[in-house]
Amino acid sequence: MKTFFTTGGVFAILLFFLSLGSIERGERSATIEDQPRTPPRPLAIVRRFRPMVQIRDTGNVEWVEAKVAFQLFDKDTLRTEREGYAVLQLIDNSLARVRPNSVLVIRGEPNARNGLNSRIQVESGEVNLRVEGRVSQYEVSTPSAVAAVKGTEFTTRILEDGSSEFTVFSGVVEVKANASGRTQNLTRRRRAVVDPAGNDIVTNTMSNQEVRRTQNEYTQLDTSAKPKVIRIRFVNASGQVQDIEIQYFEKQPEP
Amino acid sequence: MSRHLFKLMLLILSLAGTTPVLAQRIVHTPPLSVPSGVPVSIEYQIAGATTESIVETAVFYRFQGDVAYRRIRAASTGSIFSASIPAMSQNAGYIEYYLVAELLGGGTLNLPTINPSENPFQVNILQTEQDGPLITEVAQIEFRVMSPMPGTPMIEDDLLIAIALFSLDSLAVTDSLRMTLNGVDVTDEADIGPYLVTYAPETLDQGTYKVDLFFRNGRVITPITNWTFTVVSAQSQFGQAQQRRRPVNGDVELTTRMQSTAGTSYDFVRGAANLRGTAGWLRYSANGLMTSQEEARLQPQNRFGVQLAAKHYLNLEAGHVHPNMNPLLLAGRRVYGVNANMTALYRLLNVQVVYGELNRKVPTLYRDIAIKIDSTDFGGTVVTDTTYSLFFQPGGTGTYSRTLLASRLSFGSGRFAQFGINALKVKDDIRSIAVVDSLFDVDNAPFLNQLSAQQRASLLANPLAYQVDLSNPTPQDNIVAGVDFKANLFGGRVQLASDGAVSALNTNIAPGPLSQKYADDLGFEIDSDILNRLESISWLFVINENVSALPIRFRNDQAEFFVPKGIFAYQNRLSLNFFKHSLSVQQRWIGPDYISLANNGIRRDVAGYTIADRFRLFKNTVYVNVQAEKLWDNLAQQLSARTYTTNYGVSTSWYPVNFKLPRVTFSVRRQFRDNNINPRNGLIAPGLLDVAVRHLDIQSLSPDTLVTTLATPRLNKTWQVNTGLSRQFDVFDMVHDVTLNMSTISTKDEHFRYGDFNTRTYSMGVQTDVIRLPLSTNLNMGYTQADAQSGFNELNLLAVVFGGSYFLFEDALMLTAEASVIRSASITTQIDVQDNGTPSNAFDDFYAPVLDSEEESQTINYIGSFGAEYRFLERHVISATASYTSVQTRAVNAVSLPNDYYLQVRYQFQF
Repeated sequence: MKTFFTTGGVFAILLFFLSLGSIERGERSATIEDQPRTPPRPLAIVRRFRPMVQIRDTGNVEWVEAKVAFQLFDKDTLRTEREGYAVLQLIDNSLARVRPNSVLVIRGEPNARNGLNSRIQVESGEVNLRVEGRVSQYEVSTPSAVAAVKGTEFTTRILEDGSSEFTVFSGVVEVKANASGRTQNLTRRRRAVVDPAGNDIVTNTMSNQEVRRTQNEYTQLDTSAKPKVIRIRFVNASGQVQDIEIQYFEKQPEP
Repeated sequence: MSRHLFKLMLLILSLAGTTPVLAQRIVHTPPLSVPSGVPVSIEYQIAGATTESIVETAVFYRFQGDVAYRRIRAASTGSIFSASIPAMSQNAGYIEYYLVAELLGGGTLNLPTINPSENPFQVNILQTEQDGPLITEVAQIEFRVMSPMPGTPMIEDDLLIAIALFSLDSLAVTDSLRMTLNGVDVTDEADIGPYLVTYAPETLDQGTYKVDLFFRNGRVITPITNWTFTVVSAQSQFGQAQQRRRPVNGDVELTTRMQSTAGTSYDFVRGAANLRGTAGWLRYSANGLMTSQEEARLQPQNRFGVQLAAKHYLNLEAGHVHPNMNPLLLAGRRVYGVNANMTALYRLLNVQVVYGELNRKVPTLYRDIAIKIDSTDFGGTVVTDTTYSLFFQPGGTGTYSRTLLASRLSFGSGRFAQFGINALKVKDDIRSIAVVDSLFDVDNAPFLNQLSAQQRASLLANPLAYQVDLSNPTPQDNIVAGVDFKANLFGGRVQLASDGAVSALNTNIAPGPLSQKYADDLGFEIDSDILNRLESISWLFVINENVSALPIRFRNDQAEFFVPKGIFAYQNRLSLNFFKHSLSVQQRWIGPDYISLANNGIRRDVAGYTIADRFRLFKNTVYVNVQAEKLWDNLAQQLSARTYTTNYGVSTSWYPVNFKLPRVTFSVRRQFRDNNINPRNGLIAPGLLDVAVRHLDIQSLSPDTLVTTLATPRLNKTWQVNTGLSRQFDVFDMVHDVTLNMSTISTKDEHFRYGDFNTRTYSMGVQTDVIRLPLSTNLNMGYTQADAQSGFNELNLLAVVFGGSYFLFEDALMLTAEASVIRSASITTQIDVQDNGTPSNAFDDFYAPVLDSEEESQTINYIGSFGAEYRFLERHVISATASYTSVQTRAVNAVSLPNDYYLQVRYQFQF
C-alpha cells in the first residue's frame, strides 16, 4: 500500500506539472489572441470532387457547393452526398479522400514546421488519409475513438452500428478508445474496430487482397472525380459556328 | 467618289454578313499610353446588348515583336467589361490589342470592326525616367508547392496551380504578390491570399509551362519560387492508365523465419499470392497461402480461395471463405467450401448459401495397449486385477470431418429495412476417423493382436477391464434456425436490429437415434411412435440421450416431447442518434443450451440489459460515455443460484485541438457481482465462516439432520479507474509526444477472506521525432503491481523499451532497432484446505495459508531486435528482422530457461 501511495504521488506530481505547463501555454495563447487579428489560415483545398459535395464554415448555416481550389479553414464542415466524393489536399500535401455519404469537420492550425497540427472529425461515412512527410501531427476522431497518425495511410470508417473502424495501409496509427482509454498500435494491414461506447478495441489483420481492393476503390473514386466533357457544336443559319462544352460526372455503379 | 461609295457598300454588306444587329457595338477609348512594368487595364462597354446576351468577351493583345496574340477573358462589372493585360516581360515599345464579344444569338462584335487582328489598337508604352533594369532581391519566403508537383504531368481537365506560403502574416503584402504562367501575368485570375495562392485556369493547351511566383514593388522583384510542369491530354493519361490496368493485378509475398522460443523451434517458410482483375462488369480474384507449417494433423494451414462477382447480382466465393449471416449462427468462421450470394428484384430478394467443411478429419493415433497388473493381499489371499488401457500418442487426439450447410433468405435491401430467415446444419462424419471404444470390434484387430490368447480370453470374460482414454472425440450434430431484422429510419438516426435463433446439439451421434434397447437400459419405456419419429428425422438431426437439451421429459415413467427453454437465443438493439447524443438500449437472452458449432464465440447462459449514451461537448473536444448494465445467468434454473452482475461506468476525455494542450482521459467503473447466497456453515466457528470450503444449510428433521450444500456465496465489489494524459513538446527541433497512464482495478470479496485482488499499472511513453534528421525514437516504461488472494500472491513487472527508426535514401530504406529489459518478480504463498481436526468430515474444512510456503522468483529478459526494410523499383519491398532474448531466472529450484531468438526475411512484390 505504501508503494501505491508513493508511486501514485510521483505520478500525481508529474500530472500537476504537466497541467501547469499547459495552463501557462494557455495563458500565452490568450495573450496572442489579444493582439490584432491576422487573417485565418486555410488548412486545405478541395483538390478534386464529384458532386454533390458541400462545405459549411463555422459561422454559417448555409451549405456552399464545393469547387476546385475551394479553401477550407479551421472548423469547416464538409459533407458528401450519395454520389459525392471529395479529395482534400492539406497544406502539407497530405490527402484526405472522403467517400460518399460522409461528414467531416476539419480542425487545426499550421505548426512551426510548416506542417499542420490537425484533427479531422469524422462524423459519419469514411475518410482515407494519406499523410505526407513528418512535419505534421494528425488525429482522426470519431464519436468513439481517436487515432493519432504519423506518416501513414489509413482509413477511418463509421460503421452502421456506430462502431469506428480504422484500417492501416502503411505506417503506424495509435487508436485510442474514448471511454476506456485503451490504446492499440496498428501497423500495415491491421484493422481495429472500436465499439460504439468507446470501450473495447478489437483488432484483426486484413489480407493483402482486402488492402488492394480498398485502395483500388479509392483509385476508381479518384478517376470518377474528373469530369467528362461533351462538346456541342451550334451552327446558325448564317453558318457561324459555336462550340459549347458541358462538363458532367458519370453516375457511379453501386459497390 | 464612286469608288468611295463602292467601298461603303462593301462595308455595309460585310457588316450585314457578320453582325445580325448593327445597333450593337463595342464602345472603347484606348489609352494614349501606358507605363511600363505594370498591368494595363482595358475597359469597354457593349452598347445595345445586355450582359446576359453576351456569351463571352475577351481582349486579344500582343507586345511589340510578338507574332501571336494572347487572349484574356474580360470580366463584367455592371455594364463595364474589363481585362488586365499583364505587365510585359520584355522591353517592348508598344502594345497592340483588339476586342471581341460573342453574342448569344451567334453574332460577333469586334473592335476595331474590320479585320481587327490586322488593324489593332496600338498604345505606346511609356518608358519613364524611373524605368531601368529590374532589381531582384532575395528573400527567404517559406513555401510548399501543392499542385502540380514539379516535373509531374497535369491533366488538361484537372488544372490547378497551388502554393502554400508560410512566412506572410499580412494581407497588405499580398498586394504585390504576382504569378505568371509562361511569362503571362495571371495574378488577376488567381486567388491570392497571404497563406495560399491558387489558380485554376479553365483551359491550358498541352505543353510545358513555367510558373513564376514573386513580389513586385515598383522596380524591385523578389522571387519566391518557379517551377515547370507539363499539361497532357486526358486521353493520353487514360491511355497510360489503361496500359497500367492489366487484366490481372496482384501481389506476392515470401517469408522465411527461424525461431526458437523456450527451446522449441518454430521455423517456417511461407509464400502468399493475391491476384485480381476485372472484365467489364465481372470482378475476379484469387488468393493462396502455402506454408511449411502445413501438417496433416492440424487444421489447414495452406489456404486458397477464388472469387467471382457480377456487379451486385452475384458474388461467388470458393476455397477458404469466411461467410457471415445472422451473428447468432455464423460470424466469419473459416469454411473450406463455397459461399454464394445472389440478389434480384432491385436487391429486395437476397439468397445466401454456404456449404463446406468446418473441420477436416485428423485420424486418431493410439499407443500400444498398456497392461497393468495390481495385486492385493487380503489376509493371505492375493487377488490380481489386470486392466488393459489404450491411450493416445502425444497429439494423437483425432478430429471428425465436420460439414456445414447454411442458407439465408432475406427480403429488403437493408437501406431502410431487411428481414432474414436463416438455417444452419453442422454434422460430423462418423466414418471419417476410427475411434476405439471396444477392442473386440472387427476393425480393431491390430490392437487385439497385441495381446496373448490368454489375455484376450481374460478380457473377453471381463470387458470392464478395458479402459480407453476418456478424451476420445465424439461426433456431433447441430442444427440452428434463426431470423433477423433491421431497420434504419430518419436517415439512420434510428436503428433497430433484432436477431433470434434456436438450436439443437447432439454431443455424440455415434450410437444413432434413441433405441428401445437403450431406453430399457435407462429404465424407462418409450412409445414406439416416438422411436419411429426419431428415426424418421435422423437425416435432419439425430436425437438420442446425448442431445444437450433433451426435448423429452418423463412423467409417470412415460416419455413426452417438450421444448426446452435454454435452446433459444435472441438479442435486440435500438440506437437513437439525436442532438449529438448516441443512445443505445440493448437486450439479450442467450440460453445455456443454445449452441451453434459454426460460431463458438457466443457467451451462453446470460441475459440482461445494457443502456449506454455517448455525447460530445465543447465543440466536440470533450467526449462523455455513460453506461449501465445488468446481466444475470442461470436462465434455465440449472444452477443452484443466480448471479447478478451490475456495471456502472462513466468516462470522459478531453481532446483539445490545440496540440500544445494535454489530452486527458478519465474513466471509472463500478461492478457488483452477487448471487444472494449468504455464508452459512454451522459446523465451523463463526470466525472461520469467511474461509469455509463449503457452505451448508442444516435442518434438523428429527431424528435425522438434513445437510444441503449451498452454492458458493458470491458478493464482489470492484472499482476500476483509468486515467491518462498525453502532451506534445517541441524542444531542440524535436517533437516529443509524452503519454502517462495509470490504471487500477480493485476487487473486494465480501464473503471470502482470500478473494481480494488488486492491480495497479503505471506507464509512460515518449515518442520523439527529430525534425532535422530522418530519425524517430520511442521510450516506453511500464510498472505493474498486482496481488491476488488478498495479498498472498504478489507480482511486480517492470518493462523498459527503447527503440528508434532511421530513414535513408528518401525513406526507401528504414532501419529500426529496439532494446528492452523486462523484470518479473513474484512472491507466492500457498493457500490450502485445512481439515479442522476432523479428517473424515469434509463439511467443516476451511482455507488457510500454508506456513513457510512462501516462494520468491525473479525473471529478467534482455531483448534486442534489429530490422531493415528497403523499398526499390517502386513495387518491391524486402525486409529483415532479427531478435534475441536472454532469459535469466532466479528462484529456488528454478529451471534454467533457454534463450529465445528469431530471424525473419520477407520479400513483397506488387504487380
